[in-house]
Amino acid sequence: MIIAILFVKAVGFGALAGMLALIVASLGFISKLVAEAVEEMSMRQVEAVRATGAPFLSLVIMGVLPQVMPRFIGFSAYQLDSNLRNSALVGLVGGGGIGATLFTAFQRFDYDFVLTIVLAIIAIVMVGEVLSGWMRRLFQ
Amino acid sequence: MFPPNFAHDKLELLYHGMTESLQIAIIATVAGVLLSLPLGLDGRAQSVAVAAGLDRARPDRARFAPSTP
Repeated sequence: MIIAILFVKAVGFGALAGMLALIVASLGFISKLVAEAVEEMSMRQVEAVRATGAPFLSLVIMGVLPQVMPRFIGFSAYQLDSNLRNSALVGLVGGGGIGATLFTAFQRFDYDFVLTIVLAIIAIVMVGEVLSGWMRRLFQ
Repeated sequence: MFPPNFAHDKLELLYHGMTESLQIAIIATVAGVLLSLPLGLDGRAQSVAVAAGLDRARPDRARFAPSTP
């Protein structure tokens, strides 16, 4: 949310600011998790690929990625779920989307519409939760 | 407050806001995840390189002899 305020100041109101803020938030979180996953994977496959004389990029693609891919997909599903929730939040500080609509309705004392928006957000978050759980089960 | 307002123009507003929010969430997730892959790998690239004997600065840490002297 603080990052969102920063980006709203930097690039102005609108969806771009919210998007950049969420990209930065996802970037830090997912790269940390990927680094942890790479750390605890088996080095034997990497050595095997290295033994064929593969260059470093092939080493990463053929030796490292297949081992971390199921967990990586799980992280991505979780992050998508998290971003669905956070995209409502960044709108409140000027990041566009449903949060901006919610904020406008709240300032107009249009509480009937606020309730509609809140119900819609809850529905979307629940659908996203089910989807991401289903995706994680599918790949693990 | 109650009952919620389901008037047609309000639903139009809700639809626009919600699609924009979904777009923000999906684009941010795809871009963030794709960018985080090289970043996360880079964080551990050194340990991978050392284990694979690619790190010429520390050949003593290699688990097998480096092919290039």
